[in-house]
Order: sequence, then C-alpha cells, then structure tokens
Amino acid sequence: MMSSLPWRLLVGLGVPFVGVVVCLPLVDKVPRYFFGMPAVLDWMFLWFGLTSACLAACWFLHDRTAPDEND
Amino acid sequence: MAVVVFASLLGVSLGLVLLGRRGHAHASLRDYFVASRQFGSVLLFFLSVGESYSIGGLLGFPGGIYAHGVSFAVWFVGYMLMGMPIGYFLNPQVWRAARRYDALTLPDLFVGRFRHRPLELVVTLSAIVFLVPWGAMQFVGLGVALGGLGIGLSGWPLMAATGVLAFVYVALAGVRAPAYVSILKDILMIVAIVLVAVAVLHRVAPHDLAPGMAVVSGASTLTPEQERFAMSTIVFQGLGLFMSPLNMAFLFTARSARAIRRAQVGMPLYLFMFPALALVAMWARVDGPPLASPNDAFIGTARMLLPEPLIGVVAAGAALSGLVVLVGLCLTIGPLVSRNLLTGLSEAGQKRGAQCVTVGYLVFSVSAAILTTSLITRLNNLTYIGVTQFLPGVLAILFARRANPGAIALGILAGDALGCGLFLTATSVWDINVGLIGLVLNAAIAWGGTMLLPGPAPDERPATC
Repeated sequence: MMSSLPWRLLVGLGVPFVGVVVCLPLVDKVPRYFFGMPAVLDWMFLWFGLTSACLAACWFLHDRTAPDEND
Repeated sequence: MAVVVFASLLGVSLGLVLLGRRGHAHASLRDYFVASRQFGSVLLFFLSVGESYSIGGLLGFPGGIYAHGVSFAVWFVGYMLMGMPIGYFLNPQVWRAARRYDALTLPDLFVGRFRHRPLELVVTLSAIVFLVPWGAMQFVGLGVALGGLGIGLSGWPLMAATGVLAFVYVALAGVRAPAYVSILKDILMIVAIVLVAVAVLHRVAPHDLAPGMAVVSGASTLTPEQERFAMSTIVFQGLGLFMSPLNMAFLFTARSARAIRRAQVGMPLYLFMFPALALVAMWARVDGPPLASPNDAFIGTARMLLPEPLIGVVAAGAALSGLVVLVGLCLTIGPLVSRNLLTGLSEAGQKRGAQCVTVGYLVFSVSAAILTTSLITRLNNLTYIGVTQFLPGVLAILFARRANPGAIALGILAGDALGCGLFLTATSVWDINVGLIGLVLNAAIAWGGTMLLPGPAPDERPATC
C-alpha cells in the first residue's frame, strides 16, 4: 500500500508554502487596497483560513482514523 | 474603576491557578513540569498559541505597522502561519521521542538519543542564553502596556508585583498555571482587540484609511529587498516556531500525538484577530493621537477610545499575557539548570532547584528591564536566531540513525555565532534573514560531520553520559 505521507505533506505543508511564501512576490505586485489594507496583507490574512482548511483535510481524510495515532 | 476591573480579573486568574492545583498539591517532577503528559487538545491549543496573543503581539505587531507599514506585517503573520503546518507534521514526532526518552526538557531529547554530555551542555547553555532576555522583555512590555493605559501602575513596583505573582503561580501549580490562565488571557485579549477595533470602526470605514496609509507609509507593495527579507524570515522563523525550549516544554504536556495534531488544525484560524490589530494600527497612524512610541499604537488607541472599565479589561489581558510567558519561561529555565546543567540531583532536588532558579531569574529579569532596557530589547531580537538552530539536531534525533552528536553541537555553535554575528554587526547578505544563513551553515556542519564520522546508532549509544 502506498504511503499517504506524500499527499499529506503536499496538501498540509506544500499548498500553504506555495500560498504564503511562493505567491508573496506575485501578490505583492498588486498595488491596490482591499477592505482598507494592501492586497498582499489581505492575501496573508486569507491564508489563515486556507491553511487551517489544508490541515483539516489531512486530519479528517487520514490522520483522525490512522492506526498509529492511538498513542 | 479600571484598577478595580484589572485587579478583579487578576484575582480570577489566581483562582484558576488554584483550580489547576486541585489534586496536584504535591506534584511529582513529571507532573510539575509536563503535567504527567495529560493535557488534551484544548489546553495544549491555548498553551501553544500563546505567542500569537502575547504582549509582544499586542505591542509589537501594531507598533511595527505604525513604524514600518506593510512589510512588517507580512513577515510577522507569515512566520506564524508557516510554522503551524510544520508543527502539524513535526510536533507529534517530537512528542513521541520525548515520551520514548522520558524527556522533560529539550536537552533531555538530545541526552536520550545521544548520551553525549558536551552536546547536552551546548543545547542547555544555548537555550538559557537565548531565553533569558525574553523574560526581561515581558516586564518591559508590561511597563509600556500598563503605564500607557494610565491605570496608575508603573515602574519597578509594578514589575516587582508581577514577579511575585509569577513566582506564586509557578510554586502553586507548575505548568498547570500557564495552561489554565492562558484560556482567560486569550479571552481577555480577544475581547480587548475586538473592543478597540469596533471603536475604530465607529469612527472610520476601513477603505477610508487606505489613502492616508499610502501617504504615511509609502507604497502598498514591498521593495525587492523587503520581499527577500520577508520570504526568508517567514521560512526561517516558521521553522523555528516550535523549536523554542518554551514551546517544547508545552508540547511535552500533551496526552498523545493525536491531541497535538487535533490542536494544530485550528491554530492558523486562531490568528483571526490580526486583521483587527492591523486596522487599529493603521487608524493610529493616520488619524490617531500623537504617540511617544510606535509600540503605543494599540494601547494609546485603547486609552483614547474605550471607557475606563474596559481599559481595565485591556490591562488585565496585557498583564496576563506577560505573566503566562513569564511563568512558562520560569518552568523552562528552572529545569534546564537543575536537571541538565547540574546533574545528579534527586527529583525533589531538581524541583526545589528549579524554584530557586525561578526566583533568581525573576529578580534578574526585573533588574534588567529597569536598568538595561535598550540592551535587553536588542538581545531579544536574537532569540529566534538562536532557538531555531536546534532544528537540525531535532531532525537528527527523529530521522537520522547515525547522526554525529559532536557535529550537531558544532553546528549549533556555528549557526549561533554566524547568525548573531551578522545581526549584531548589522551585516546584510542580500537581505536574507541572517538566522537562515546561520541555519544553513549549522545544517551543513551537522550533515557533513555525520557523513565523515557517523555516530552511534540508538542501540549502540553509551549507557550513560
């Protein structure tokens, strides 16, 4: 059986990394304000919820019922 | 009235400490420092996210936006955001290692895996050196916050009273004190931030702040130099978020790896108050009262806009923020000295020794906060540079079968020296976070040393140090 670790790392760590770090210089090129704040700051705030969503996907789709979690 | 509200809420916190002490009055060493690894997801959550709503966050985040604009806010929230998914995957592994080696402190992990006294000393002394200024900074922050709120408490009497209260919490309930009080602290902090943000929104709509903000802090985008610094700092401090000996000690209180993962899921969402803090900072910069210091951005706004009883709520939240971190630091540094620096003490001796260290640490922190504020502030900037250097060693404990303990020790020292040296000499290397440069050197030495001279496998290590 293939390990689930690669997809969990991709979703739980890779996606937030791309969103928060890799996309930063791209979003930063948007010289606009939304809700009174610069676009790049709004983008960071958006990732509060998106990062939790990525971790929740890992938790509910795998880790919550994974046998090695029963410590 | 504010003082009455403030004192009442501190009284409630003391009640929570006494509640946490019930059934644990004569706590064993393991119960005193890591709650016998009994904490579930809720207590662990509030202990772990404590840094998000700390006195540093309350003063430093809005103060940074006030002084530096967007660039500061981006890396400040970015590193906490990046650290949480890293912790989701790494922290359960660290917890399992702590349980396997019966670790109460970060150096215990290294002892359990390597049984190498020089490495234990390097980790212990590094941890102490980089944590010591943090305590003094809590007193500095408390002085700024409570003095700025104008509730009549300031200076050394306030700091001394806070120090006494911190010791009482430590002595009464050990690690259960910051765990229980952090729930009240976070409730008060969130209430305080919401109150001030709502008061600001009554005066101005957020989009009306944008033109003024653009004038006072320049462009809404980052320069290429600021981008490089922000990205490298987010990565570096994100890696270091849970490497702090303080956060490690809290992690060791968990009941299970499952409890840790469950707590980590909601942590990024818990940062939801930072947009409100940013809004307050922007209003303070554009329309707010004149301030003596950027760090007064939130506190000055609160004092201007809130009625007196609610100022007491803000003051209590700020005070408990400092207290929770102080108590955590005492419970971290105490056993570093009594258990890792001094060896051979009985369990009762370690506990008493840690309490003696606590007294000394609090006295030192108050003195340093009063006498050497600017030096302490500068040294505090080194904290993350130092604690993140434990990462290669922790990864080696978890994943490397034949890591060389001597190389790990040398790597930590080299990373500390390079990162701190670059920072203190204000040397910029292409605007990359200097701690990250030190970490790369650290990892290279640890890995290279292990390749040249592999260390003993876990089942081959010596029986004792």
